[in-house]
Amino acid sequence: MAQYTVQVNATSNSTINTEDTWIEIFPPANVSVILKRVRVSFPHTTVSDVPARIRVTRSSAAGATGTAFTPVRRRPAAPASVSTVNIKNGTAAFTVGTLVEIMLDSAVNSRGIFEWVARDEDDYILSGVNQRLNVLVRVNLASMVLNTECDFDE
Amino acid sequence: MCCALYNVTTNNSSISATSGTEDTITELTPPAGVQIYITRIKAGLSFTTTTDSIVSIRVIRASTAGATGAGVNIRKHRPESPFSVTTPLNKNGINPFSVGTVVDVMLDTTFNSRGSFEWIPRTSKDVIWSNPGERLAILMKSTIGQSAAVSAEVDFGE
Repeated sequence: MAQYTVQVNATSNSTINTEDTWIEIFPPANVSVILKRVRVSFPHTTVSDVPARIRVTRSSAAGATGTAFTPVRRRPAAPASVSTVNIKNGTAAFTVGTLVEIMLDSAVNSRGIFEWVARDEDDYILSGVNQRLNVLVRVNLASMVLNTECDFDE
Repeated sequence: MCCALYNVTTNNSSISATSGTEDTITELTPPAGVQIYITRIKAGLSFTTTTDSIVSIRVIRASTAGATGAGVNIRKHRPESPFSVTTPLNKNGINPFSVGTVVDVMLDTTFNSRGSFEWIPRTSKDVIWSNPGERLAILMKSTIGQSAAVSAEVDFGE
């Protein structure tokens, strides 16, 4: 298996406390995506003191509408990812797809950083068959710039 | 992975006084045919006054060098290890050290200037590899709007 990184620098929903999809990973039917790390930080132009909610979900349908992202190979010699990855595109809304399961639901203050790392291989978050893995973020501030990143295997 | 681990630190690099201007803090260039891999990054501001600002940090693969860094010593984690063959450069005080040509962004995050940032790989598969003979660089910027001293450390293997 090879490991990949996905990053998005985009703007939260223009409506306060509206959750968007930031990263959506959709593997082929015979492939599982293994989520190992999620990180959210707040490179907004001004410091804010607001809560943000972060969720990792499995979904059975895509949100609308992301922009394509080519996962970066951690090891340059690794094969290219076979998953379809979409990320939030600037200020454009990227709705939440049909929820199947919530795998992580947490929050952080915008002065901090949120990072989840799988404790060991039993702690990985795997995609379901024909399901997407998603990182969703909701912020108590309209149009706030965030960075969201994740590392995954397939 | 095998080989030896090395360490580069800086406390003589300052974030750009221009808010939002990104500089290279540390640039590691292996020789042709050699790949290096980062195993730890730590960064914080050792500024003399407390600020409540946003500090951004990125790790990139770069195909050309930034300009202009200053030479720095590489330390061996294990004294018996061979000397590193990598060329390290640190930002020299307040002098600009521009960002080389970005190939891949491997990490892109922020932290508050009251805190610090540390990244370590979860397992050996999670390390950040360079392309053979290609640079890995740590970049930083902030919203402080004045020069602020950085204390940073990069551990890497080759």
